[in-house]
Amino acid sequence: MAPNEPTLDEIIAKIQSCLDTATITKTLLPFLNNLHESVFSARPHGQTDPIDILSPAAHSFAYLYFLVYRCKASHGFHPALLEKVWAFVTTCDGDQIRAASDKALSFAEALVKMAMESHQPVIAIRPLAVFIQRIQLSPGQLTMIHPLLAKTCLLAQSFKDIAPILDCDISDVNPTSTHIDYRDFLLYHYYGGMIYAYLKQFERAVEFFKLAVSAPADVASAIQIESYKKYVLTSLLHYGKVPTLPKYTATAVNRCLKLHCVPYSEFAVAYEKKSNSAIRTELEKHKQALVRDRNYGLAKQCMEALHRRNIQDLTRTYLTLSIEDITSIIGLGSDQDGARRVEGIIVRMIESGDIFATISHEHAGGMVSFLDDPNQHNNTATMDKINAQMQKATAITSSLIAMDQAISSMPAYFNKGSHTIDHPAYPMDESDYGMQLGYDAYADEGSILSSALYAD
Amino acid sequence: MDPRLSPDRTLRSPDSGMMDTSSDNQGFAGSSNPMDSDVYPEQLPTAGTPSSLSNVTLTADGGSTAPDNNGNSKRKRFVKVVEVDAPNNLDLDAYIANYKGHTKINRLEFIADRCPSLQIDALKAAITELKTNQTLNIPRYANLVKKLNEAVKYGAPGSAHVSSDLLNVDKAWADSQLQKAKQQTEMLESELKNYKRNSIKESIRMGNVELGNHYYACGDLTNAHKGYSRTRDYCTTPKHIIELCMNVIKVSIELGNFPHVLTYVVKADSTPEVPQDKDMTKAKLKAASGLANLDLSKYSAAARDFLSIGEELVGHQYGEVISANDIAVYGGLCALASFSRTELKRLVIDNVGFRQYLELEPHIRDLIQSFYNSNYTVCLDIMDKWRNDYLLDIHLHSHIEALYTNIRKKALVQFTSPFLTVDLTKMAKSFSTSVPELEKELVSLIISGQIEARIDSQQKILWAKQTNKRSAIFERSTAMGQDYEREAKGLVLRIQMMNHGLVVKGPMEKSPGGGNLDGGDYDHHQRHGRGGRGGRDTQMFADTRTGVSNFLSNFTRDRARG
Repeated sequence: MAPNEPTLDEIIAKIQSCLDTATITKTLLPFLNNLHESVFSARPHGQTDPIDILSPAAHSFAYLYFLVYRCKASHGFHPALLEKVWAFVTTCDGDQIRAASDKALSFAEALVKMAMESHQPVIAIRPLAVFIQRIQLSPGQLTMIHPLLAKTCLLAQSFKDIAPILDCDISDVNPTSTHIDYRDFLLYHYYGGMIYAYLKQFERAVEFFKLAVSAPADVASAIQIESYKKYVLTSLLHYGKVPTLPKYTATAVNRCLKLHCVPYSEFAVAYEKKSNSAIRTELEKHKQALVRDRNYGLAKQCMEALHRRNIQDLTRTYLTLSIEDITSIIGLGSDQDGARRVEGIIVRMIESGDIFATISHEHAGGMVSFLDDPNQHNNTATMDKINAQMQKATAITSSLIAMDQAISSMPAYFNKGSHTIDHPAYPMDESDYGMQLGYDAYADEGSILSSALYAD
Repeated sequence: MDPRLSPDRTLRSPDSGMMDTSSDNQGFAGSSNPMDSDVYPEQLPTAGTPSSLSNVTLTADGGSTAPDNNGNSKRKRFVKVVEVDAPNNLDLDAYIANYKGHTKINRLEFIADRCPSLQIDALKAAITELKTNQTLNIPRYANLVKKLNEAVKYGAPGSAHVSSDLLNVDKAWADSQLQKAKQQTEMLESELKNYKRNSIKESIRMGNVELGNHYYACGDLTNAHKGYSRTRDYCTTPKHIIELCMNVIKVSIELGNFPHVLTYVVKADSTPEVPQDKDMTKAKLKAASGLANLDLSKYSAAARDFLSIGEELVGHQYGEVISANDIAVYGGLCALASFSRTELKRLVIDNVGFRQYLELEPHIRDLIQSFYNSNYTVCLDIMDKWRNDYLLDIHLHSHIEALYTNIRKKALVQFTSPFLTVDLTKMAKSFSTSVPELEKELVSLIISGQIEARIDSQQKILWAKQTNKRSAIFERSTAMGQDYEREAKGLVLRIQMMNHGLVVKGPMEKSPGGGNLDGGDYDHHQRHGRGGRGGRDTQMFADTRTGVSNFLSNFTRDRARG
């Protein structure tokens, strides 16, 4: 340790003296950044561990520094450390953490690394989920931890803790206070979509993938391409067709999608025609690409969903139909096995409320009676639902109006507007202008000449 | 090659084989004669016709039961030969008396080719017709005689009564006719040359018309068409233009070139100051465009054309193309197949002009009446009875199936519309079909949205669908609300991202230190379009590229931050 380094006690004293956010950012931040990392990771013998002296709630800022290096240094799983992490994330002060958002990210990464090294990614999930809620300003704010947590959840295949976070739509992005960039946004929605697909909440999955694909872009990102592939498959699963992307999807992205997602669009075209055999051939044809993109499982689920969709179509046409007939109509073969499968599918669909039907086994083979939706929309549930939706809609509308007003009163907006009005099409440079004119005149002459030629 | 392998052509215009044979050709049947190598002259392949004609026998019967090996093999190759049993109502003499000119022969030959029981009569009539009219189309005459010989050889019904002078080609007469045709061709051509030298517009036009007429008489339709078309540049009055159009239309119909017919109908229609027999011309044009629309399967347009002909053609005035009876049949069937109930009432039943035609074909009138009165058993019965007759119609035969299906569908829809529940067995009875078949038809109609009903396949009952509009509105509005919320949220988020510069950019601007895994290489053009960057970028670009492929395989992330 260098001689001019402050002793641990001095450090502690310094930390304990800075309690409000202003002083922390002004004095404590440079002070701590200047310290060697061994100060934080070392565990002095004999004395009390400095980290025990600090309170995770009052001294969150410094506590974070200690934790980052402790976690980085720790290889594998330490219950004691984990306890500290847990105490920290549950009690820490969001303001102080936000002042050191880069350190917070390192902390999260170190935590995940630690969890991964002990082959238990699941242990990082709950602390991260709580941590996110701590450092968020609003529930809809995207933080730098979001994508990390989503990825960890995917690896751990544990989605209980992330579900409430995912269910809350991102409505606030602020790179300055949360240290995020566009990749965080794309990755979070990509991973989030995958999680929803895993949980079979395909509508949300489509939503997430769509957000990733339609994010503003100058060039297309690989994440967007991959998102689009999954977007196609999940849309087929949920809607049976691929809804068009929003108009504002970047042209660069659109161009790339056309180039890179040919197997997917071909599959989608075949799928929308609902013909069993055509889809099967397309699936076989593109199996390699699908397997390579790790999307084959989703594609196979699409096949299953097709049967469900076909059965749903039958409810429009029939009141009663024998299972045997259903089997042959949806093309599952007429053997016993097919009939059993169909019955299973129908039972599951009835359970999930996709169709309303009863199966009776009075007749040989079973007879399915399709019923109408019993919900007559004349109950309070419907009323509540509509009311809630109307409130949401008005809230959004008012925020949109506020935003519109804010934009229209922004000086930048005025400048930009008047700028384009002043110089609509003329080139800025005087010499440019002359050249342009000359070229135009030449072009005109040429066109006149050629038209004259053709006239003769 | 067996000429039957180009069946479409042979069907469209039965004498298409002849057109290729030059009129000077002494050999009676050139290699392009469709019947040349044919053992069964009555079996014409019909590729354009649906194979599912129910009461049409697909194998030879009646007189032509003398197969040899060659014939057998041929028959196998053309399984879908449409051959019509004796028609139920057709009186050949009465039918054919309504026509004149080429179409008469064409129709007779068409019937002979398809209907064994009428084969001999039709051929006899055709040959007599050609001879009495002193035809110049000798190859055709020879061909018909040859067909008649073959028919008699295989003992078609009525072959005992064929007089021998019909069986033998009247050589002397044929030669003289050929000679005459040749001379006339030469004369007309030299005359035309003469006119051209003098460049008198009207003379040139007349010369071309005459040459066209002559070629038409000889059966050389392509040259006739050429001759008529050439007059276009020499037309000076609207009358000339109309004449040109009528001539071209006549030839084009015979050639089966119906799009051409339509263009010339439009041309004639747009000609100002139509000459004196204005109504007649108009009627003829309507008939021609009706035929063209029928051929193009635009049944609604065809029906409208036929129905608006007026009374002008009641006396078969357009006999070289269409008879008054045909107008009734074509118009009636097309109208039934494509019109709604109100249209049917307004345009057909209340149509005074069309009523005159319907009087000629009372069964069509009955058909329309019974359809309108929802008496479907009668309606389908009439249709069934006359199916064979229509299959022998030169213009209608390939459309009968489509027209009948359409009429049937409309009947089904009309049948179900007033009821809440329909017993499928009863319905099947009144549509003379089986329940499973009916079910299939209904399902397709339900899926296409033409019938709002559901089938109880256990009890075989069709239930009209009770759509609860209130529920539907609720569902629609909630869905709309969700969409709105989603879109608005997306918009707000997007604006925020733009505001904060969260835009996907090429990796160069962001962090040049490698480890940058996004995009970039997906967009060559844009990067190069920004221009002005040197080789260093290319190197980095390659690095990024490998980075991206890694990225694609395992989305690991490397943040270059700090």
